[in-house]
Parts: sequence; structure tokens; C-alpha cells
Amino acid sequence: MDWSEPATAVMSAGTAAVLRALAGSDGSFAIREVARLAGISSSRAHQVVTNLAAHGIVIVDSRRGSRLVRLNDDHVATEHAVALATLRTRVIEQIRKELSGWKLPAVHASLYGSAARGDGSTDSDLDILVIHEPLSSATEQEEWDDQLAQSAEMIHTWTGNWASWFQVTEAELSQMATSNHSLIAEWRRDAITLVGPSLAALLRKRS
Amino acid sequence: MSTRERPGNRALAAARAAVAREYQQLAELVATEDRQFAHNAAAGNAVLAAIAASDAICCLKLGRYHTGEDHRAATKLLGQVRPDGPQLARDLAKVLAIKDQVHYSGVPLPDHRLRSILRSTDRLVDLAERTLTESSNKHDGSDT
Repeated sequence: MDWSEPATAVMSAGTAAVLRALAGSDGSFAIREVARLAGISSSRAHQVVTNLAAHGIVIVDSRRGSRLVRLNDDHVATEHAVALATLRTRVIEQIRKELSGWKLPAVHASLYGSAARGDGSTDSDLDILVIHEPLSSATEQEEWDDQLAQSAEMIHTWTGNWASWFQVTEAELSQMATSNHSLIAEWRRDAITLVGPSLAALLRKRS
Repeated sequence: MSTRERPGNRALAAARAAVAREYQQLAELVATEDRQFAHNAAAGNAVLAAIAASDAICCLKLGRYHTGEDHRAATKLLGQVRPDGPQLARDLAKVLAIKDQVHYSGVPLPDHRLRSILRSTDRLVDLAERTLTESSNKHDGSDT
């Protein structure tokens, strides 16, 4: 999966951005507003809307001199197109569910790195920070490693990307924070929480 | 056969199994040191041992091995080995999962995590050698 814009497997980045913008609300928008919400230029938004309108996926109302755009929820393709456009969010939700189901629960897990920033590619790893309780025995450690390997396999099946785990206990996290490890700043900036309290809350707890 | 696989014969398997044992012994040796990052170096050697052992097993059981840069793709090939492929793939995945953290993070690897990796590595290296011996016995048997 291309983490900068997963939907580009089947549609342009501009189309995906417009679909996300329109799917986020029940209302109608002027082209300029669609462009602002989608984070693209007005001319590009106009181009995308014209194309989607030709397919009937969006409806353009031209009244009183203004053109208002809305999603055609009754179109057979709309639900699927929106599902593709919101793929990244939905995959993150699926990973969240997978990690929440661990038999040995994590104290915290979060996505960081290029996938979290949205600038990854099809070759990018999904960097996942996992904070866990100290493991009390060799058996527990093996069980823990097993569940991570199993989840990595699932994530690869869903996305085509490999999970790269960074595992620490709360005490080890604390040591990293004390020594001002560069990853702490990166985590603070980019991490998307998957399991447990936010990293900021955990770091506050230790201070 | 995918583009990231190459044919592998018994001679290559023997060489990879021997290399795997060397890396595994280095890993065990370094693991006994109590310097701060000795465990990271031990784990690094365990990763190399597990990859070499997996190559040997794949050559012997499937007649091909993974050649891509990302060794995690090798877990898919190892998973095809019968009857224990899924467990072997899991062992390789567990060892490879630690690679980035021990190599690049600058965070010391705790003892319990290293021990778990070494157990997985041992299983792979032992199986590579056992499979090689069995293949050797079959080979000798077919000569007589």
C-alpha cells in the first residue's frame, strides 16, 4: 500500500482528496470550498468535480450563478469510491483492532514514521511503537513475540507493508526520555495512538 | 519461482547451514558479555544466523531460496516448507522483528528479549543441520 495516498492504487490523489472532503459532510460546497477542504488547487478541484459529475458520483447544482457540489450517495459506486478514498483511516482502524485483541495487552501502541506522517510509499514499513509491561518469564516473552509476529503477518496480508516493531517497557521509555533520545521527539510529533493512553500522557506520567 | 528467489542445491544448503552455526555461536558468545550494547551485537549475529539457516532449509526442502534485500519476504517462502513451515516462518519473523531496533535505535536490548531471539535462532539452525544430515543419509543411501 502507498501510505502517502493508498487510494492511488485505483484513483488519482486529487479524486481521493475530493471524495474525502465531500464524504465528511452532508452539505453542498462551492468548488473553492471543496478545494480548500481537499487541500488542492481550485483548478484541480474543478477538473476532478467535472470528471466525477460526468460519472454521476457527484451532483453539481447550478443555481443563482453559483455551482454547489455534493456527493450522490445513491450512486452505486459512491460507497466503494469513498471506501477507497478513506482507506488509510480504515486500515489504521483495522490495525487498532488487531493490536487491541492481544492476549498479552500492550500498555500503549502507536504508529509513527512515514506511515503516520502520510509520506510513505509501497515499500515503507509500518513503524509501530509498543510499550509493554515487563515480561515475567521466558514463556511469556515467547508468547509476546509470537503475537507480534502473528499481527505483523496479518498487517502484511492487509496492506503489503511489513510492520517494524519498536518495543520498550515503561522504564525503558523513561530512560530514553531522560537521555533525550531522538526518537522521543519523533514520537511526540508524529505518533498516532493505536492502543492505550497517548504517548504524551505516558511521558507526562513519568515526569 | 518469484524474481526474488533463486534455485538452491544441497552444496549451497551445506554452506549456508555452516555459516548459520558460526553466526549462532558468535551470538551466544557475545551474549555472555556484560557490556551495554553486547546484546545488540549478539542479536545482530542471531539475525544473520536465522537468515542463513532459513536459506539452508529452503534449499533443502524447496530447492530454492529468497534473495531479496528485505529478508522478511523470506518468511513467506519458509512458510511453504512442510510440515513445520508456519512455525519456522514465525521463528524467523520473531528474529527479524528485532533487527531495526537493535541495529539503529541506540537502545540496549534487554536480556529476556535476546534470550527469546536466541531460542528461535537455535531452532532454525538445529533444523537446518538436521535436514542437511537427513538429506546426506538419503544421498548416501541412493548411492549404494
